[in-house]
Amino acid sequence: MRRVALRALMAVGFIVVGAAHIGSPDTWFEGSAGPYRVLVHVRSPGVIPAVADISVRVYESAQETPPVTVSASLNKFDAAGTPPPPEAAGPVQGDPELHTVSLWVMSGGSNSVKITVAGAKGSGSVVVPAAFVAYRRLALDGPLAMALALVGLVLFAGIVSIAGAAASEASLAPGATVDVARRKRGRLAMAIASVVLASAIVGGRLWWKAEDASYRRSIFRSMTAVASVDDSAAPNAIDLRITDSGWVASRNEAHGPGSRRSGYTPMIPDHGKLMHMFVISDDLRAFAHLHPSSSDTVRFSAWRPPLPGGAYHVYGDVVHESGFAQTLTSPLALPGRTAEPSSGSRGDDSWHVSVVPVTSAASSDRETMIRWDRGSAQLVAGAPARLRFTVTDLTGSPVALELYMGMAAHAVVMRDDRSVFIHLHPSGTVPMAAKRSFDMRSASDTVAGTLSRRVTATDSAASSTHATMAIGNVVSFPYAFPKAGKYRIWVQVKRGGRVVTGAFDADVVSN
Amino acid sequence: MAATALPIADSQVPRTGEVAYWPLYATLFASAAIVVGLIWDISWHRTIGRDTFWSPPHVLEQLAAIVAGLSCGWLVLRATFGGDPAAKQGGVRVWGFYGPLGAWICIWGTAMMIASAPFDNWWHNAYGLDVKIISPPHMVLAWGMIAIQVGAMVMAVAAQNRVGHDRRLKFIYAASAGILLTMMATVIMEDAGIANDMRSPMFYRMVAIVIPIALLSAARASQLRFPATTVAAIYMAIQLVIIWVLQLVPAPPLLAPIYNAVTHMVPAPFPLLLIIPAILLDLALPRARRVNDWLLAPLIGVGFVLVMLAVHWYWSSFLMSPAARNWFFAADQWDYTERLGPWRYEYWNTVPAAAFMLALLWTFLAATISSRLGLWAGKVMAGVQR
Repeated sequence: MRRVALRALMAVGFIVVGAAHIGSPDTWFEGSAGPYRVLVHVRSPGVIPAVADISVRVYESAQETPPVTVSASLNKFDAAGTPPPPEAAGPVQGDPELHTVSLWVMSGGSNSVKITVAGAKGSGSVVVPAAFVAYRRLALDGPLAMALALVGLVLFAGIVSIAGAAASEASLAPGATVDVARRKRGRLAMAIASVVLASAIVGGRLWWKAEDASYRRSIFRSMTAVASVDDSAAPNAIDLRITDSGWVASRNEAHGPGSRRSGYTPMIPDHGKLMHMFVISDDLRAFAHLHPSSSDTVRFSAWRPPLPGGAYHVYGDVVHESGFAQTLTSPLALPGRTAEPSSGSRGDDSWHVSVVPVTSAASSDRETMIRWDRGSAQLVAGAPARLRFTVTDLTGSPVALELYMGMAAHAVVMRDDRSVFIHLHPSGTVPMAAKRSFDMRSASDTVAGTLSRRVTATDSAASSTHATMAIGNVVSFPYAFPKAGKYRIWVQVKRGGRVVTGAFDADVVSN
Repeated sequence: MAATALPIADSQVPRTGEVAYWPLYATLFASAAIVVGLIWDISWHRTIGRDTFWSPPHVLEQLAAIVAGLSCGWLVLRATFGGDPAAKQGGVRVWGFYGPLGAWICIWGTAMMIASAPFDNWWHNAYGLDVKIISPPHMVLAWGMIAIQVGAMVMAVAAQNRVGHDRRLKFIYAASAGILLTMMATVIMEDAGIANDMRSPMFYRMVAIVIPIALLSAARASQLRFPATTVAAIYMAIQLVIIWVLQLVPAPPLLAPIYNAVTHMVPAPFPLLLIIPAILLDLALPRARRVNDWLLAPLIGVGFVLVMLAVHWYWSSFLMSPAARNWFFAADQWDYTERLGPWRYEYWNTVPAAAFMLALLWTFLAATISSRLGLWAGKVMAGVQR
């Protein structure tokens, strides 16, 4: 049973080492489960252990007879034994394509949800990586707090009265009357009970505070990092240096086995890049998507694009071998240069400076138009958003797109107060490297780094073979805005060997 | 006049010899259901994992609260409004209502159990499902449960005291005390239950805090010849039956991650050998009738700790040996979440000898306080009439 407590502590430890993105904890995934195209939404509960609500939309399954059956199971990335039996996801009334199920997340960090769809077309499954961390704290207030306080008061008064009755009457023979001495004894017992109980309540309150403080320490924070401009390099570089002592110590053997090590598994490349770095000005006008190099996975150094001077934030997306992804952030002040609309790319690195906010159509070069097919409906927080974009030339004719780092498109969604930042793909919020690390995992991957080598090998092979593959001119991203507010979305596609960026503004209302 | 007045006067004299057994059985059932439900629920979480508000062990707990609350509520309503003066005069008065003291404690316990539900629910929403036994809302629930068990015990002891020599009442009281002891031992099971902890200071500190009060109060108030032994034997019997039955129930883990693929319900560890200090207590206590309680408490407290230490220090090495890995001793059975390793056969939380000795001093103090409270509670219970 000691182990139960230890396990609880370990779970807390994993919480500290877990999570992805900023302010957008849910997982969205669109892909194939065998013959079926599915959209999977895993709602992150915000605390652990807790229940994660999972919904699965099986496209074009409404007319199927017999109806498709959907089941889901959840497992931890390093679970050695057999997974628990899958649970059936029930159809939602009025929406025959949609199926929902709730699964317990017992252990934080990198987990995966396996979705299986079976029907007339056969059956198929897909593994969706989902990272769970504690990210919110609930205050006890409002009617519940009032009601609990009231009940507590009644219980307090009740036990004090019972103590008084016990002391004054309980040892009397039935029918005997209570004399003055006994009455006094009863009052004394009530006073003692009040003091004892009040101390118990104070003690309980201190205990609660200690539990709360320990929980708050367990709320997820990504590794700390510091961004800076390296003037000594030619051309100039933007550096992001990880300062998390656990991570740095675990990269450096000289610290010895006694030092506090990070619980993170090694980093693996996503779309061939160890880090996807986004440099975004605080006024959201300037945006750059860069791919720094690193020789020690501590200092990441990227080519500095011609961005105007000003206040910026740097976002570094990294994926670990466990499938866990996180975004490292740091403020950055860029000197010099005034703001001018400009856009361009250098290899896979790209930048875009827009002056006028755009809502429906945008172009970062003089040849391509990216149009947001947003429809007339309002964007509502929490509801699947219609993020569909059509890419044409200036005359409106479809253009052929190329894969940009293995993907038809990349998008970055950011709230104007920087409380939400997420890097999306047409497949959703899941980094492809995380997906690969689950798909390629085998029971023999017991040594850290074994799996990451295989993932790395296939990742770079995939990136090079897909580079020239042609795809359609419509891209869409499965996503729901986590809360109401003003957002900016940057959509990036590749055409003619160059990266084209469109910037869009979105007003999201609360539901 | 005199002839007619007599029966009226007679009916107002409490009939001390008459005892209604059904409330004693009802609350004894509630008390037993609570501890069985708790042990079952712990096993459920260690084996199956997935549960709801309506899992079978939870339903058993709810049933216990309902039985205790309704039967004791009925007792109070009947005594207050039933028009039977004997029932009224046999009770204590709280907020204008009358009822047996034990019934009041049971009602309060039921209210605590009910109140803990929304608090626990909020706690799970705020901090996640607590996978440990001891958390603030669980403590509110536990105090509610313990109150019901104490209430059942007080009702039984009052009946025993009122009636005098009734074997059945003596055993009902001993059973209620044994159930309460089982409850206390279960609450501290995380720190003081498993053999691996039996050489850690925490093990002895926890048993020193909890066990003497439970054993001594029963030993003092019971009219049996070997009260502490009987109570400890009941604790052992309850634990063993549950351990043996649980192992017969096939059950798979239903939550991930599964690191230990168990195939049947994981039982609680083998009960503590409380019967040994209990026998010594029953032999010693009648010989120490003249000793002042303030002197008796440290003697019993220190003696209890030393006996527990001498017994469990060596008993643990048997429980961790291959000889105990069978259905009888149920050793070496672990949760589905455990990554099995050599830690299974190692002592946990051990400290150097000097630190152990120092911790032992505090343990003596805790056992002394617990013993003193137990002697006091026993004396109080021996006098309870209503």
